[in-house]
Amino acid sequence: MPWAGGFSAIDRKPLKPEVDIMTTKGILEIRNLGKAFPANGRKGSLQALDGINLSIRPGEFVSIVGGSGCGKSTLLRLISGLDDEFQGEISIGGAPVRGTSLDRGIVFQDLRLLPWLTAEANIALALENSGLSKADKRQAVAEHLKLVGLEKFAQAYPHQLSGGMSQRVAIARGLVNRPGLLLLDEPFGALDALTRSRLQAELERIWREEGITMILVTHDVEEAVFLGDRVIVMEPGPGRIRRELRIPLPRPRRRSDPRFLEIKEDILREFTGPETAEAESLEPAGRPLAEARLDWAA
Amino acid sequence: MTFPMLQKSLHKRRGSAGAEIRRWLWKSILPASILAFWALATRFHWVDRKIWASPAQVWQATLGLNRDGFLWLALGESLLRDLAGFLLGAAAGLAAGGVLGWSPWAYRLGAPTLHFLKAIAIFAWIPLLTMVFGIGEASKIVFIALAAFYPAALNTLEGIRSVPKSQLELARAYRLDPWQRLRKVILPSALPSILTGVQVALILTWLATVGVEYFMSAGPSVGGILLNGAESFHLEIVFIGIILLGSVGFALNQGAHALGRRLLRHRPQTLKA
Repeated sequence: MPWAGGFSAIDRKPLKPEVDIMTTKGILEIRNLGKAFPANGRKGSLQALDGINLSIRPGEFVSIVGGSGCGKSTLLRLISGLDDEFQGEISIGGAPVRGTSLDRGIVFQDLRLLPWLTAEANIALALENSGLSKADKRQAVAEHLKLVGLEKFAQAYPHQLSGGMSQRVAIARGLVNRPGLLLLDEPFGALDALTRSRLQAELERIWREEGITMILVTHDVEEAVFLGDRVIVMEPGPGRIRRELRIPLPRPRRRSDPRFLEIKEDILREFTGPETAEAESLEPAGRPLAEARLDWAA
Repeated sequence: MTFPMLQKSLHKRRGSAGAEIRRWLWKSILPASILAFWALATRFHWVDRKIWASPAQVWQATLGLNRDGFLWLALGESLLRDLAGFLLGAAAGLAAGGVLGWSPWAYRLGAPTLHFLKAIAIFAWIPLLTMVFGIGEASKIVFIALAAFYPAALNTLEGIRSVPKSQLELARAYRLDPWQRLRKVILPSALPSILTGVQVALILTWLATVGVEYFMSAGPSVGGILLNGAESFHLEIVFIGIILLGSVGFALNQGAHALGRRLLRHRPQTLKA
């Protein structure tokens, strides 16, 4: 397998001097956020999010965990600017979030690699409007392919890549603009357990090296605890924050660490009660490889 | 790049020469049987020999008709006419389908009319065309163009309208402007459907070419050969026309498929379409 294992730190020269440092490095503030979708065929609407308050400081890794329908992906879309219709406020460094920005990268749940572009060209797509010169673009793409260990697969098309490799291309594309904030929507949901844990470790290293703020949405409690400085637990109907907890464990974390397991159990009890805490995943129905993930329980 | 895994999938395995010949033999079983049956039927008078020509007679007539290269001339005339109509109609169809697919406003305005016009058999336009363009070359080319227009327009329209929302959202996330969005996302995404439209247009224009030559008598041409054979009760001439018509149609179809495969070679999931 072409697992390259290593990754290399990128020399973070300021590629985008025109971007205000206050907005890239400012605190993400979410105040009293609500989101309603028009309900199908009926009057009224469906409240997907209600009264969300959250502030995330630069460089922090925040995991948002919750079951289906708790609005965690909706929350991520609102932060990304893909959806502008909401109540309340979202601001970064005091500036309200309106529309998408190259400074807020997003890695989609379904990857969204364009099948007619090579790995390289897929990553370069994110740089179309970066304002970089052709040579700088080429260099940035090459560096980020290297960052995710795929430099030898620059010319490969998505259908020639494995699931894990495709996922890395998507992460490289999310990072290539050097965003201050990277949003990850269940990025490892469709991967096998082994690839998944490798990529989690890799993501953690990238996060530490690049100093990017990351928000990870997941239904996998273990993943949330493994990666987050903080874990935000959400509940459905309407989507609210149920609990927030700091993870005081040193990094890199060990999944078999008793304290790790204790925190995990604690969070799982929020959903299932103590007797079913070993269920591990919050979305048991229809998720591929939900059972495979049990392998990790130490 | 030297990557064994990639190379395996980049270079599709070609069959050996033996397998190629076997495939070719397999394909020619049915045509050969029909030819043999035809030869036997005329040889043993299972059919009325006054009307039915034998394969040998058709071959003789072909040689006779082509003594001064007449068949090549006729074929060239028809192909040129086909090409002119195809280019005109496909270009107009791509443009119309593009605008209707691109702009929701244009779609609401134009789509019902397009679907209404599509439902009219193109031969119904002949009287109108001859009134406007006369019975010369212009009428014929516009008629052929009409045959290309509908499949090109409808498939382009469909292709653009069915670009996945997720891909458009990706374009939004990377702040692509409308032109970048069209070039980088919409056109490549719609390409398989557009190619299908062009392919269908290519086949239909050939049928329309021969049809319009037959109905609007067009001098030396494939349709003209059919018309002459029919009017003079020389069935061997009609057969020559039919064989020409079929061969060109077959070649166009194969060519269009090969082009489609080439343009979509990086998308295994769409190749079968």
